[in-house]
Amino acid sequence: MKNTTLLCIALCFACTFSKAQSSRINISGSLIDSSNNVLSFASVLLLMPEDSALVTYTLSDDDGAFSFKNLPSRDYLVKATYISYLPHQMLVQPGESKDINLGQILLKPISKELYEVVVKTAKAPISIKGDTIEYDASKFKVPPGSSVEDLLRKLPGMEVDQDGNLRAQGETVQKVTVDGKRFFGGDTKMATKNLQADVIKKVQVFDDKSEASKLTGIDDGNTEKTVNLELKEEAKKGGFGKITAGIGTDSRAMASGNYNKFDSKNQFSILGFGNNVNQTGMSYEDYQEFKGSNSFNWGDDADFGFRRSLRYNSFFNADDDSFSIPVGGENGDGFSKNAAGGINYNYNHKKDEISANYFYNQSSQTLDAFQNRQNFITNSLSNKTTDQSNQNNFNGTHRVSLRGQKELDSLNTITFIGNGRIGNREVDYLSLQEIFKSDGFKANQSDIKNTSDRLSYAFSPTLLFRHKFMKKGRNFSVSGAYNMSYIDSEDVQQSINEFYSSTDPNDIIKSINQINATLNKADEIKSSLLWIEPFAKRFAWETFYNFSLSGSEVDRDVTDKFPDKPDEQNLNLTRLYDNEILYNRVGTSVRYSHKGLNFTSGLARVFYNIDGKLTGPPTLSGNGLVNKDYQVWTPYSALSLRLRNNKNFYLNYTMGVDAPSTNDLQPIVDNSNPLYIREGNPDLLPAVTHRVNGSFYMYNPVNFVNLNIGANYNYNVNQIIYNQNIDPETFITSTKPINITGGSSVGSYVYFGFPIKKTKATMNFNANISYSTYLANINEVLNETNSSRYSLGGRLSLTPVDWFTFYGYANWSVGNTSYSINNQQDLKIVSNYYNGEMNIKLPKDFFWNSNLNYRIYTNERLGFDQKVPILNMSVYKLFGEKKKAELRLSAYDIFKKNLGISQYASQNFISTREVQTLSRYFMLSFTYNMRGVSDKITRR
Amino acid sequence: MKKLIILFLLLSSTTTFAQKRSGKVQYKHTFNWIKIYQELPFLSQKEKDRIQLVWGKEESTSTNMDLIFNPSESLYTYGTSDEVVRYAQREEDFVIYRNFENKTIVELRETLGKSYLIEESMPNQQWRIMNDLKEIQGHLCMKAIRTDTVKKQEIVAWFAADIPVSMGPELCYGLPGLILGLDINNGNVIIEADKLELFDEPMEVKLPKKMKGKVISLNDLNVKIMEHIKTSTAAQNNPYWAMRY
Repeated sequence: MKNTTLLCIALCFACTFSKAQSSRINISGSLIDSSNNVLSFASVLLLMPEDSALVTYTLSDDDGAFSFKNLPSRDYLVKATYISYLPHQMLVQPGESKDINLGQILLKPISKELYEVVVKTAKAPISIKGDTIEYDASKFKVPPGSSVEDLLRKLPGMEVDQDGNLRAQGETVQKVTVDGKRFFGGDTKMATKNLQADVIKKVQVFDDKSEASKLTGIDDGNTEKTVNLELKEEAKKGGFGKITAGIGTDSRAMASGNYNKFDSKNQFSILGFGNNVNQTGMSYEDYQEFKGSNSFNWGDDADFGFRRSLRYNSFFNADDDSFSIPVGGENGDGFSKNAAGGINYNYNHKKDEISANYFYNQSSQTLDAFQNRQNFITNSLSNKTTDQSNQNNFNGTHRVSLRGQKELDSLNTITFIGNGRIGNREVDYLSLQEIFKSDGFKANQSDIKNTSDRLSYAFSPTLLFRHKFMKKGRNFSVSGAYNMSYIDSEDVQQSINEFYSSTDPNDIIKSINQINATLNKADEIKSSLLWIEPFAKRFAWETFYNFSLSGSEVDRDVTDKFPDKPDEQNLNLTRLYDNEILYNRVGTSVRYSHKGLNFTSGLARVFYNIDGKLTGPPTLSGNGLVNKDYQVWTPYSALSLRLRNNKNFYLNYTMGVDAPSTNDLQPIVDNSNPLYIREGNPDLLPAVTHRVNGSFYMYNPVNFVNLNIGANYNYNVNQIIYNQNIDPETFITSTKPINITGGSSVGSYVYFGFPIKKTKATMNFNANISYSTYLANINEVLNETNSSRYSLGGRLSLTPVDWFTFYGYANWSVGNTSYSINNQQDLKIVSNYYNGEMNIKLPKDFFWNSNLNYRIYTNERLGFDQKVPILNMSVYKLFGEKKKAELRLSAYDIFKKNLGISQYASQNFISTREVQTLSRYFMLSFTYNMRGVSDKITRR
Repeated sequence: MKKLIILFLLLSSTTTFAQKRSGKVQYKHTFNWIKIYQELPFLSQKEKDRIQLVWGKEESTSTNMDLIFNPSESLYTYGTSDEVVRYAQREEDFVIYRNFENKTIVELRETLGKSYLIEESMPNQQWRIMNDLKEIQGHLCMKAIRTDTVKKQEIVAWFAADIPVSMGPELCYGLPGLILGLDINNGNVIIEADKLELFDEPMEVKLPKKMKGKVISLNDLNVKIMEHIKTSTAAQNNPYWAMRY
């Protein structure tokens, strides 16, 4: 028998237990059942009585006999087990004799009822300790609010009759105890009917000695079937919340609070904040806690097939509005007062999901800005624009979202996603714009006073249905969606424009006083189909069809106001534009996927039909009808490779096709800024972008070294750019979108990180190089703007001890821009950025945090040299045993240097902008966190 | 009573007196990473709650694993997947061969981003036998418990005494019956037999041809693993992304 070798090893092991006793013993016996039949091939286990550790085991022979030989002399447990018999165990204590014969050991068959108990609870182990059978109550599902009786009904081997009497394994239960104690006298039904099932941890069924024998101490051999209910230590309830309030110098204040409550099926959360310290959105962490299981939903994209566009969700990109709750938005420009609040509920049970939330946020912002911009018109001609503006914005948005998913059966799933929003925006804008010629003389000046009032709403319901076939991997999906948006705005535009170069005295001063009422309605209906058909072993066909019909209607009514006569409709600017885009795409792709190698390649045909109708001024040339059909083949390819040693490689090629936006198609002259007149172009073609993307990533989990390399290339065909015509005398710029081919960009990056000393000091380097070419016509001359940017950065993380951390970062970047129409204007912008953060954990739960942000911008040609050091510091103390409270004193921008500076060069201009922005203030804040405030000072 | 016994014998037809000691088991290996995150010592309660809230509804990931065995040898590695996936993950090297006759093991284990090959004698595993019973694939299983000192795991095994071989899935063996179920650290990883076939004829157990890896002793690998768990935890990384739980 092979087990003998095992036995030897076990014996060697067992030797360590037999210090003094050198004598050896043998244990033998035989197994029979209650009908005196011998039980052969039964397992007999030899265990240590202290901890049931397995010493050795054997099988009984044909006569049911077994023996263990040459064992160290000590106590053992002998456990015999045989199919469909209850395991039997007995303690063996060696006496005088060397050979211990246990004689005939009787194994009891598992009764039918008990065997069924074991079989039926296949997934829920039952524990059998001697005569006690123990059920794990959590494994038997009963509806919430059920009584113990309902729970007992579910337990195999247990019966509950109509009157509530219990029978276990066929016998009447005489006693029900709770945690071993009798529950309200002797009535078994008192406990089972009155206790809630969800407080029960375990149910034990056993034969207890009769009450009489317990009293007398004499075992009369009578037993009572007993059920004991073991209670849970504490029913687990999840709930946490946090409130923070702070008050500062310069009337600065902030408050925020959130509360979450959840159990296995329900998640409920509420959140609110208000401040005047430029925080417009919640943190990403708070967002995840707020939305809970609804933060991420896979497969909610109703547009099937490979990526169709580089612009995601292009329908709503026409304006800044979005359905998603604002996240982030710290350190914005200017001064803003913000308030927001929301409520979220999720229900998840098995595969059924329901989520609903409501969120409102509002923000009023004051922006006092000075902008300086240099435009290059021809090689000898340039101008300079300065703009001193004051802007007051108010934004308020209500958002609701509803999502439900139901698994109809194991093959069919239906998902509903509904989003809606309604919001209003008010803008007051005052601006003095001046344009200077290259010789420094002022060419013209505009004094602008505009107000705008806008109401908008949108909603978007989507329905998705997925069907899996019995054939593995075959899938069918269909989606349908309707998007709708409505914008009603009224703009009052007043300006006095002085043109000093004008020869006609009538043109020297132009005054505009208009009311511009615009109603913009857009809707889209779309649908997608997807069929996935596996073939061969590792291949699948994916065939898809996308359909979308979108319409937009712009009704713009412009009225001129005069001080001395009644208002008049301005027929030159009043328009009604109606346009419709029909989009169809049919495509197919083949996918190979096997053990880390995934490759997809496909082709799709895209069809655009653009129909537009313009009803405008009588003076407009042409009939105002637009009718464009456009078709293109779009290939797609993607390769992803996961290699040994945590290496990943990815390469893909996409061809994106984007229809022109409705704004750009509308041949409407927008003169809201009299120095910058925009006009649409109904002849635009869809823009096509070829994009190649590659990356490589590796990580060594032992020495923590990681490397990430990537490169991308874009080439634009029919890119939509804005032609500029600048009047050399008045410098009035008119722009119009056109298509142009040839713009491109290429970029690459390297990230490399390694520990200097593992877990104590880590170093990271990054380098980026990018080149881009941008084409634009300036006064009918093609200008090619070439930009290159090089940047190099390094990060040092020091976490030497648990009470001190330091994070340092430095980045140097150089940007070169050259303009083909005016190469004297080529420029170089250097920006350096340094950041240092230090955290110290002081005694008595005091903490120190300081953060220095130092930016340097230089541009030699413009004589621009700005150094902006921003230092923030805070000291805080945690209170209480569980550190639930925090008192914090913070100082923001101690050097008072926050200037809201930005610098930008592109196309044919360079611009710098400075905004008066929230600067130095001090704040004292208090936080109470139900879960305790984290005392960690490491970043993650 | 006799009738009853006969009835049971008929019921459990796979477990007749004939000692079938060869077979093929398909296990479902279920990895509950949300629960594992809840136990990482460096995460704050806030981070744990967030993981639970945001990801709690995600299903745990499961993989099929195959064990084939004859009376003296066993081989455990990846099985074939039930699902046709849109993105095929790479399977890390994990081939466990045991010879109970020669008392040797051959293990190819990709750990910490590297494939290691272990060829040495089979160490003894110390199990404690408990009183609980559970039925898996028609077999009445007994419970045994072992503590893994390397990964500091409490391992519960359910073994079928009526299949008298000492084989088992993952890194577990040495019980008086085939291990049909494993539960590592109270549900963090659950391995349970999904399909079970037993044969009279001994099955051929052959090592795959490709068994390339850096040769290492089991002890040295265990030292590496313990070191990794220590440093990863100190660096606030989840150690189990780079090794099998």
